[in-house]
Amino acid sequence: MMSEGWYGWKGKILRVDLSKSKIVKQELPKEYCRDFIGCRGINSKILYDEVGPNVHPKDPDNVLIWGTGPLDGTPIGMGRFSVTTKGLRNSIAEGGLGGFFSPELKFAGYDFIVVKGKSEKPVYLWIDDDNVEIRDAANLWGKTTWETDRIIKEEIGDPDIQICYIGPAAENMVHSAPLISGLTHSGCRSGFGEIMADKKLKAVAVRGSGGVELAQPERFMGLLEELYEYFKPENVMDPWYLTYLTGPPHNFIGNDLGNIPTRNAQQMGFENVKDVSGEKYFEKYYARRRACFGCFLVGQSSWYEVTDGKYSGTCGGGLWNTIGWGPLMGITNLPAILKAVTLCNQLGLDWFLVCYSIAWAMECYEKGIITKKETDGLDLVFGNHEAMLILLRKIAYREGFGNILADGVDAAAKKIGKQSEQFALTIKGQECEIMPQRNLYVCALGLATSETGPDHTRWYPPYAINPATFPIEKLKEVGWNIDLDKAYQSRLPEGKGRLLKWLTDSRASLESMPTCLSIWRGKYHVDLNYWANILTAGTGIDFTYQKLLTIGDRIMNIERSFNIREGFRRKDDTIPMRMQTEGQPQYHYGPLTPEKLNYMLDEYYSEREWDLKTSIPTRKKLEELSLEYVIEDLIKHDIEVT
Amino acid sequence: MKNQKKIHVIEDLCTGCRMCQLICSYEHFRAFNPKKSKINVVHVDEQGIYMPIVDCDFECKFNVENEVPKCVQFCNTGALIYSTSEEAAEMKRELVRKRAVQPLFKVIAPWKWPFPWKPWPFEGANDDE
Repeated sequence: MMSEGWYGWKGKILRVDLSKSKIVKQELPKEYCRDFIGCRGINSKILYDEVGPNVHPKDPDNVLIWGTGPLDGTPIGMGRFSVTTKGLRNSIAEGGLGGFFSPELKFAGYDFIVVKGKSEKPVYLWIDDDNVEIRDAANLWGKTTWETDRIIKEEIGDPDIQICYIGPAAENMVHSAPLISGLTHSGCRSGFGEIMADKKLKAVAVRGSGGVELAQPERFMGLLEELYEYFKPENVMDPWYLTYLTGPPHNFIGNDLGNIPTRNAQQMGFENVKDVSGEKYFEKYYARRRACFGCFLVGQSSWYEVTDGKYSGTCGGGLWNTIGWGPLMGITNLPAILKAVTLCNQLGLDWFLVCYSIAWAMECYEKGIITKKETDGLDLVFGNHEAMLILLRKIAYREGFGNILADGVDAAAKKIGKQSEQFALTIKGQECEIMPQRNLYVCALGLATSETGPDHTRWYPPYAINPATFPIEKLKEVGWNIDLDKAYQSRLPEGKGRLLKWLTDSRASLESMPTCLSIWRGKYHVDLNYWANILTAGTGIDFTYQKLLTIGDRIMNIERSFNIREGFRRKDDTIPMRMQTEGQPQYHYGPLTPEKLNYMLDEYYSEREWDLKTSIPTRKKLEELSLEYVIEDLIKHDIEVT
Repeated sequence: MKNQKKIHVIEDLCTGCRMCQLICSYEHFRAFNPKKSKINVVHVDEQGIYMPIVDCDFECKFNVENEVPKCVQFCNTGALIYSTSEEAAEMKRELVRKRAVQPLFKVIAPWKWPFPWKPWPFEGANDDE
């Protein structure tokens, strides 16, 4: 099973053409690994090379790429993988998810799956080590993700296989539908679920019996032990940390600072935050702990069970959910929120789409723009959790009013009109994030410039480094010259461009190894030397702090170039109108005015050496990153590279 | 025989991360390959339940410093313990007693994580919001 000369990577790309039912196994080019590491990096490279602007997202020529990295299958990888395609908004669509799928794919002997073409009838892909088949999925089409999981496992006759699938929402082409793996792990935010549904590919199931070999196993284990010690419960864990990581209690702290978007972000603090808080969650609904593959952060994810009341019997898992769900729609009923999260996983819905579109509809209803006539009789006042759950199903199946919301907030606002665009919270046609934009300017800049549409994982955590965790003098040695005083002031436009460049570059290379953003914390937030060492120990290729930053820069540039080729320019790097015009005096912050945003964009582009007017990467920058072929390609498409 | 230490499992605490399974395969084959491991963590995903099954021959090298096997050392949850059967029984009793009076997250593994944990902020704490 083992490929010769490969450590970390398995050295194989599995290419599947659904139109011709053809399966080819291809060698992974070594220079890809050196220049882009793997996962998100190589995904972007393959997408850039193979999908040009003449390919419509729904063309059979559009590719859908599952990418794992060299450290997948080891505890460092934490089961993360990345899925990339050209999304229906024409931008690059990339999303990561965890769980157990990607290690299994590595154990089966593949680093990447590249799916092309379109099947005429529903199919699923079954990978059993060397045997790969395209199987009929007629009985799976229309089924929820949890049913699909059960049926495929029964069909194969092995409960231990790993599967990722799409739900009915994706089949109905609901905006930004995610891919779900292992029942509750979802890759959201750019809608590759729709592309998968368009290709009539319901699921990918995999079983592997191989292993992942390391170049320097002893060194790797030493480094793993170091990380493990750092994150040992008695070294870092405290109830606050534990609960913080799972999400909800964040409400309390965020609420006092004015960071919780409430009622479609009309307010930034929720008066009933206690009802949807983590304490309540932990006292009443927290049933068990769960983890992704090899994760030693014990408090990361959880399994919840609702045992009483109207929503009794609801169970599911996840993290980070309730923040967006509760206050944004003014909902105080925690079991209803948990029910909605479970439904999202089962129906394959993007929870950000659901919560932003329903919150938007609720504001329309409040302002009298829509009435019960349009909402199919639903009383869409803020806080009506029953209506929210009914509408959620309607969105997934495109029934009645749900059909309007299923196209996303932007499209719905266009259809409804009457100034409802004013409070449609979207960036690049994608529903917003819960990151506080007016209170943490680096978040606003990150969301505005993100190539995939608003996605916090591209630069999270959004903070300048803590000098206690990494000495400043050492930072200078590795070329880190961020003005910490300025970077720390969250509502100062100055200094954010350089900070964001470092954040996005470093996250891009870490996501390509890959590893989970939950362990890029504390010391390991900054200490890329550690990551370079462990990557070297795993793969046998020499990586350094500086090399990782360069690779990150390269990934960011190729992703930006992809978007440029699709026609995205500086004007698309913006934040919702509401954030630019409305302030929150009670939390002592004003709007992030266009002037401030433009100042930050200027700073960011000049740090990146991109053209200030258009945000096209400059010739000098691309040459520096040995992306000469990108220059040629851009010129071929009549794009001026200066 | 009764005082001999063994690997015991406290299933309630398992998060299903398969760390022990990976470490075990590494100790035996110097590669991460869970299918060859002597431990199998059974997943019941739809219930969120995880159960490690340990079929160990104790042939792997022990971690000399702490005198526990590597799989136990790397189990952050406290679900794998290396003890005599009497000690294991006492730990299980302790867990059940604590769970009766405290919410689950406070009693995760009393022998591994004494509660209360460090007050926040502490050195090395994450510089998050």
